[in-house]
Amino acid sequence: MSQIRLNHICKSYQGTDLAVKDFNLDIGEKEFIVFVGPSGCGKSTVLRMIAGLEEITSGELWMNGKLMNYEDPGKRNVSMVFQNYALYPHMSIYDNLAFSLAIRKVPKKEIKKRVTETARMLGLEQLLDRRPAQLSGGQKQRVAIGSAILREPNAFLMDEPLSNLDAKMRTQMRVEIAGLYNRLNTTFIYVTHDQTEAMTLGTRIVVLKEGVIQQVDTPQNLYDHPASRFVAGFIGSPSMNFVDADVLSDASGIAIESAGDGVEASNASNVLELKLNDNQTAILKRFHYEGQEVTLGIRPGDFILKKNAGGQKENVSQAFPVKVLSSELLGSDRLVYFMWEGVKCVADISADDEVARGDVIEICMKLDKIHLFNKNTEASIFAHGEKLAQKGVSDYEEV
Amino acid sequence: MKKYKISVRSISPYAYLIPSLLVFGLFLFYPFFKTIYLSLYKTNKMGQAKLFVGLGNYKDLLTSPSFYNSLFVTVEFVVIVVVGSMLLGLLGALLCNKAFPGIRVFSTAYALPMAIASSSAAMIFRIMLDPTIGIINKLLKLDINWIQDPKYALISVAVLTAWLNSGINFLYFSAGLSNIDETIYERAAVDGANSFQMFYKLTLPGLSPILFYTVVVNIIQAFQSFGQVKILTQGGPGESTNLIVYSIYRDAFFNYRFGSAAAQSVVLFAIIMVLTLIMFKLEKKGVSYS
Repeated sequence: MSQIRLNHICKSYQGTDLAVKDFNLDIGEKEFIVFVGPSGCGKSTVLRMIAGLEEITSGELWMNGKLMNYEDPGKRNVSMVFQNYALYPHMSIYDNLAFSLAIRKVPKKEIKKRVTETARMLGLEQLLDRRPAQLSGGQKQRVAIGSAILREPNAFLMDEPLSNLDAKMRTQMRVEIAGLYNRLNTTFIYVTHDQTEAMTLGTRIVVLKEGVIQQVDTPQNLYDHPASRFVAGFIGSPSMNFVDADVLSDASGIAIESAGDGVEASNASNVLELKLNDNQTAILKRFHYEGQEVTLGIRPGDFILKKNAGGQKENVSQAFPVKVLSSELLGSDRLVYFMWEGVKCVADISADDEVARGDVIEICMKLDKIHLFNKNTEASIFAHGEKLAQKGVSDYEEV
Repeated sequence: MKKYKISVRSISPYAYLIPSLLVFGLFLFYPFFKTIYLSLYKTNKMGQAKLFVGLGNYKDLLTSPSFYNSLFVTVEFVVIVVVGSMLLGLLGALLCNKAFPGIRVFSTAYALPMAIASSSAAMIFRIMLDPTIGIINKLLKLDINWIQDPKYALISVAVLTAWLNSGINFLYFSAGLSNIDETIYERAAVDGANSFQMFYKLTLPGLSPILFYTVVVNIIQAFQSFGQVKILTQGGPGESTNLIVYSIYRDAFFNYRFGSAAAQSVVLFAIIMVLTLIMFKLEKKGVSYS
């Protein structure tokens, strides 16, 4: 069993700005937590503080009810997998796997049993006599993972374990790590900048930016209800499109100034009005957004061609014309790029719809799937509003 | 025309070798063979070969207690110097392997002995080791005649030499340490290794190629120490610091026995060569290149 609690953890290097600011997180037993964020966001630092490789500047780190701030890394009973594998170069693979047990003076027989067991589980039996230099990247990482699980620690810490591997190997190892998690039933804390890894592996994802937690949620919630414009843009590939919009004075919808750039205005007024559903309108009203400027966010997959919109049960916006800048066929999907409100946008449509560069297409949006963000705070109005509404807060300032 | 071209092509590689061959020939091969030649002769005071004695000079050496003393003193000296200079260099390199303010000052200080001439260091040590005004006796509150007491003379010279040689060892070890991947120490820390285990299981094996190289170079260097003996003790008191190189010098240029000196040189050469060969054989077992 393993519970890890991070309480107001901060980290600063030599008294300069905080690299990690007020990090609070409860990690339950058998969770697969993924820290994700752009490089330099402090995700590795948090992991290294949990491991004990970095000092905690302030705040408390608890593991299983014990304060761990000042414990040596070796006494925290966690094991770590590094990005560059960190295998001991002059030891055989067997000795690499056995190292953590050997220095604890575990009897040789027991070591041998566990090493062989682990090697079999990871398919390393043939490699035990070799040196790390004779192994491929994938094999090295498997050895590193093997030596981590051999000790049966309370938690596995993985610091971008797949980023040195090639794309194919990465996918394969990702599946293996997921399998390992299901088999071992231990807490995993995994750092990555790759959102695919985050989305596929994590039971909960922590999105970090500049040392501050942006959102902690399940992969599905993170994708469907991003808390801020940053999270919305970071999670999902291709990333979400953002355009400026105005909330109508009765909050029944939003208006976007222009149709697609480079397209002759077909109707007299160039303004595109989107009708919102009652729930969305209620939130906008509740937090007094009537007449305010907001940012509209829409995922590429939530665009739909007008000719396909008829059969949709979902609430679909009116169509507007856009001129196609380029069109990329990705097998089953097709990505269509176009300018809208001076912003380059992308729509993910079906490959069957043949769209070529220069075409003018009529496109609609799935209205229930749109996101609105506060222009100043960049917080998601709907996600934040619903959360605050649950708490009974109804103050505009809070959003 | 064609023939001419081919001959230029076949000669040119040798032409490039000529400058270095000349230098080596003049300062290395010629003296080397001349030494072997001289070792088979009795010479006059001008160092000219006069009387062929075959292995006579070697026979004289092998029956001379003075030569055995020289060999024994040299071995003692080499062991102290090599162990001392390697330990000093390694310790300095380990201490300077972490980043801290002022590291450059310390690194320079540890590497500095490399830049000091052995004879000038010996001059300074002579003052420091002086029995009445020397700082060593003052600090240690001792009354030892370091240089004139047969018990301490060899140790004094050896420690000085160890310190002198530690500078270059410090540089070698620093380079070796910076080549070891930092993350393996982090993994070892998480795996639960303490700092001794990290040193024995990670640092030493990681340094082993450099350790081997420095041992070889240090042994050769220690065997050839001369300046500090010349300045500090002149082989004395008695023959207690009569290292083989100093003995060669004394035989050749004080006693004018060039034949005997040449024979000792050949023996010294043979000893160093055999030692080096043995070490290269051992290297295959103990050294791990990753």
